[in-house]
Amino acid sequence: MGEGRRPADETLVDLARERWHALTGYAYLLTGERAAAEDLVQEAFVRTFARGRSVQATAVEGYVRRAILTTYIDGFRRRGRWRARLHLVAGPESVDGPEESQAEAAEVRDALAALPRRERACVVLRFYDELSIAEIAAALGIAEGTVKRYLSMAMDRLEHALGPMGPGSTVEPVLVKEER
Amino acid sequence: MNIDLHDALGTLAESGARRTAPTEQLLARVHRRRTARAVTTGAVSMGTVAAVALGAVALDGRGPATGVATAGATTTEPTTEPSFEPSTSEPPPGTEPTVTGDGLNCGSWAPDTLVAEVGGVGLDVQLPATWREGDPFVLSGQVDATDATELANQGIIVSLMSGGTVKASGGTTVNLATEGGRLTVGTPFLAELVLEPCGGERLPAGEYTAIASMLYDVGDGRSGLLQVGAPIVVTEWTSEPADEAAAQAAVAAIIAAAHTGSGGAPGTCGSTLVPGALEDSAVRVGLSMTPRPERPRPQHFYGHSTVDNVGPQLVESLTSEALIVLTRDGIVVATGEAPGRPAGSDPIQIEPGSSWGLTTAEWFEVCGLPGGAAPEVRLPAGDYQAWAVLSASVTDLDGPAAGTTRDVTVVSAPVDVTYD
Repeated sequence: MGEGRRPADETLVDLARERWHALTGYAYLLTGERAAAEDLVQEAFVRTFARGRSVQATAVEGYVRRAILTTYIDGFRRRGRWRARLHLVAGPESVDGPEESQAEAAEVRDALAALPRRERACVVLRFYDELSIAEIAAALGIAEGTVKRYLSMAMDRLEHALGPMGPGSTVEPVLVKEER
Repeated sequence: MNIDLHDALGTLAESGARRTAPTEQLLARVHRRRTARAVTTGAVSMGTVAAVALGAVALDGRGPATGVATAGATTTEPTTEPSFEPSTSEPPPGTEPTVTGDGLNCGSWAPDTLVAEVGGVGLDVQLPATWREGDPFVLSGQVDATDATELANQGIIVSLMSGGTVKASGGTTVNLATEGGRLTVGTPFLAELVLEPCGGERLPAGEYTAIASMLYDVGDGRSGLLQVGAPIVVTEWTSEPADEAAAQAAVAAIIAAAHTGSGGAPGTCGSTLVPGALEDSAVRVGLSMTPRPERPRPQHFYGHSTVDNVGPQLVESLTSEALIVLTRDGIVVATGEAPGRPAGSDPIQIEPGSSWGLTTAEWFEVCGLPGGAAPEVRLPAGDYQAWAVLSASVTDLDGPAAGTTRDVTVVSAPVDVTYD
């Protein structure tokens, strides 16, 4: 640790070192671009830690994840002024991995990219974070009925693009949430 | 394919995750944000904020340069990581240099050095030797990558510099041909963008230095700017009588063809728009045309359209389905353009009671009839009417027709505009 750091800085460094991989993966599901995902996570860190107050280490990842989500929903654009200058969102990027899973991941990524922002967030929260409808509604600040509608429309679009979904890809069943 | 969405998302997240956290960069950003917060919380003027930012630049050893690098950019490794931290406030156009030395924005100083190759990624740009004010700025180039994997954004900014500061700038995305999403050696691109003069003034004709900048990200957390510069001569926008006559003739030809043809879909070149003919109970489209008399003629008006969902249904569209057009005698003769417009096809979803800003038009071009090329003329002077056109689908959310979707095309009220 460097000298002169505040406790919040120590927490930041620990979280970044231990959870950067998971957080950028989460952000990548939202943005569909690696660079934008990393920038989104960086911005979330900045928003979480910029006040300089001590942040409870056990809760801080939740704060950062929440900041990632709200920043994304608010229409975050990579590098602020750069995006404002460019007027556009960049296209999809590559994915690594075995060819078969890479192809499937690319199809899923493209299908996600075609979803409106809130629908996409609902899909990620439901099927990746495994949140309940009520938890998604609370996270996004919208009604549970709206969440259901977003998910229903998103699933229609995803099935149209990707074909039938397997078990566990339905909106209604309550999923057992794993401890992280 | 029978996809388990949970597993698929897990795989996708893994493929997009980064393994190494840029902790020092993060700390630096957090500390800068804290500094900015402390300054603004103390109710100090924006001028002081700028002074703090400038101080930070000086501490980085990137103080204002007295000259401008030109063609033949250096290819040495940068001594410090190029700064690309956005400022906390946009400097007012035309103000004195306040923020950075990256050469990107109005008020910015010239960069100390132009770095065109870093970490196996190189930028080579063919900048035009001359540029006529008001024309789209077109440049071509090539990105070389050895073992690097990606360029963030794949976007480019061009700035014109004189006297050591930026006098005009603009940007757009570029479409790089890639193999499996990865850059390879010699990836070419072509970009078209609008250069906006700083301070809302006409850009004086004369000699400038053009700098093309591209953000790089070599995949291991390092990112910064690749920049190439070259001298450029800016000429004043004029319309010669012969050119003007050809442009008027091209517009007249579109109108004549429309009168003899069957007409196309609303908004397409040569189609007819009539006030009040295309309305819908669920969707209203608005249009503002902001005068910019200081700009050359094709940019005399800045068009901005909005859509209001005034019904209980859901309205969905694509950005590519939103147009701003100019008519003469009710016939569409010109279309609004903005940098990168063809690539913009994002889905739009408008909830009941919500509004969206839809599309913009930075300049207008005489259009080409369906099946034909656009005439190579500039927008001629005269009176036109501007319209915003939107094609969308409207879905009932409740009641016996829930889930039923109908396609609509809605047109704004016309706005009279005169191009001198």
